[in-house]
Amino acid sequence: MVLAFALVASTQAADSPLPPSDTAAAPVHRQLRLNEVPETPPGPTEPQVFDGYPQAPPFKVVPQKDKLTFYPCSQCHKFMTPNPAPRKLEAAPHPAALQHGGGRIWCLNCHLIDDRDYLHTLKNQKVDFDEAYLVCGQCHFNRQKDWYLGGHGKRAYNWQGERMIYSCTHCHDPHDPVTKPREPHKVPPVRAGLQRMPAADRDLRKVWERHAAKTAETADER
Amino acid sequence: MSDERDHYDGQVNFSHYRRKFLKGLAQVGLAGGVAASASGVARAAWGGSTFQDALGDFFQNHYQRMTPEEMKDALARIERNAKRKFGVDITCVDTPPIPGVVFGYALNISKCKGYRDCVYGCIRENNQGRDSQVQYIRVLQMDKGSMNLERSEHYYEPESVPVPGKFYLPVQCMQCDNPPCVKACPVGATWKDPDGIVVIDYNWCIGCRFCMAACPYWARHFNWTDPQIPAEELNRATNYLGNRPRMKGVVEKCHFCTQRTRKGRQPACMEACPTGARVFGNLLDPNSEIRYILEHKTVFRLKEELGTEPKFWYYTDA
Repeated sequence: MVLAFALVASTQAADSPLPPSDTAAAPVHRQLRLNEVPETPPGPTEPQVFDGYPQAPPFKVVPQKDKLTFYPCSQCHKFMTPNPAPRKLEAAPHPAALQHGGGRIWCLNCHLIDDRDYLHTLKNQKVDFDEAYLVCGQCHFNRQKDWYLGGHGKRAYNWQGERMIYSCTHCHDPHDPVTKPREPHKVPPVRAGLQRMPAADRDLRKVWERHAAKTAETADER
Repeated sequence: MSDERDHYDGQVNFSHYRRKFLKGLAQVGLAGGVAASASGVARAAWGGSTFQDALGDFFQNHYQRMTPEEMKDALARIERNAKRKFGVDITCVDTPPIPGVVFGYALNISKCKGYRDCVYGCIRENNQGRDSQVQYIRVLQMDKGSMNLERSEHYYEPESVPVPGKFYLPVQCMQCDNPPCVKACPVGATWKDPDGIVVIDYNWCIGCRFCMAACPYWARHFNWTDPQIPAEELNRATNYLGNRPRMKGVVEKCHFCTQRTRKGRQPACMEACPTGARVFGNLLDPNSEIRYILEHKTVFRLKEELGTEPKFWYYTDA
């Protein structure tokens, strides 16, 4: 016990010799991190705002605002006093129940209360309707990254040159985002004079299973 | 001497020897009482082309051996034949591959819902016969958790797709980098272009269908009949190694829409896809979308173990 204590004391003395006792009011520790600790902690700065991925190829979003039926929203909303209380909406153009987020989301989580022609993010960016991907990506960040870099979403017109991509809200209704099942295109025709093989008639056994069954049959005959 | 020069001046619009030879033959045919007209509008007894064009088609050289003049003649013949057959003016060009580009395709099977929009976009774009079972894209309905192609269903027709418990696997020409169909062709009518697209010279194809037997993806299709296309639905922007109207007895397949992609446009299937499952691009461009997918997603290729090196990847979300 005494020996171990002496060993610790000797190593500490070898690594960092103790400062003179008059200046050492507080105990001095060995630095635990490899990276340098700044002398003064950084002061409060502007909150970092997401601004896309630098490695993503540049793009433009196919504009969609001109296709919205009731846009600009301020046409009506400038005559109405804003009511931030969550409630069930009954007026005609708005969906009564929001299917997005399982009841946890209310209109004003995305829509800007002061100017209904815009959206907003949690960091109070004012976001145009055509830039809705900045709002969606706050939760769906994986999809958003894929969308920036080309793994999700749809590019319009060309494979090279100016990159025009569709925004989230082109394909997904933001108020009811699940894609509904749809009727498929009709079955491609079979060559004239031929018939389709019904799936029920197909022998789905393996070749060796078919062979074994056949040999068993012939064995019975013999 | 002067007589000879006058003679050559009269022939100046037939610039090279073969054309003169063919015209001579056509005149012989006329003299023999064959109902051909030099103006080329009448429908002749041998399949709707004038004797001159029929001979021109017959003696047409392989695509890679044709001189620019011969190519010009061939393209003009294709346009005239389409005018006779369908009554519409098409433009046929020979678009060369873009240097420094190798095309690749990626398809997200998590996104594909089996709508078959790509199939019909392709049929219209590529002037496929409507009743000859020539569809370049086959969408296979597969059981989830299995990759057994034998149990796939091509002719699914439910009320709505996607059907629960199924996923959809569109299969088309994979534009293999080591294409077995090219090795199988006995006449060299199909080959791999510098941009990676396996193309067919339909005029050189003898219809032996060896390539169809060699292809492990069932991507090649044979025109058993003359392709029946409604004239008003004919795509008029055509390419020689692409969607020009085909004849009976030749093999055809997906060519990544050479008439569009070699001019920077998207293939028709990608444009038709409403889900955005299809991604097309240049494999040599490190900033392209397809390169991002190949580097960051879980991708697989169909029947990769056969060593055909397909340039068509399937990937999934996640």
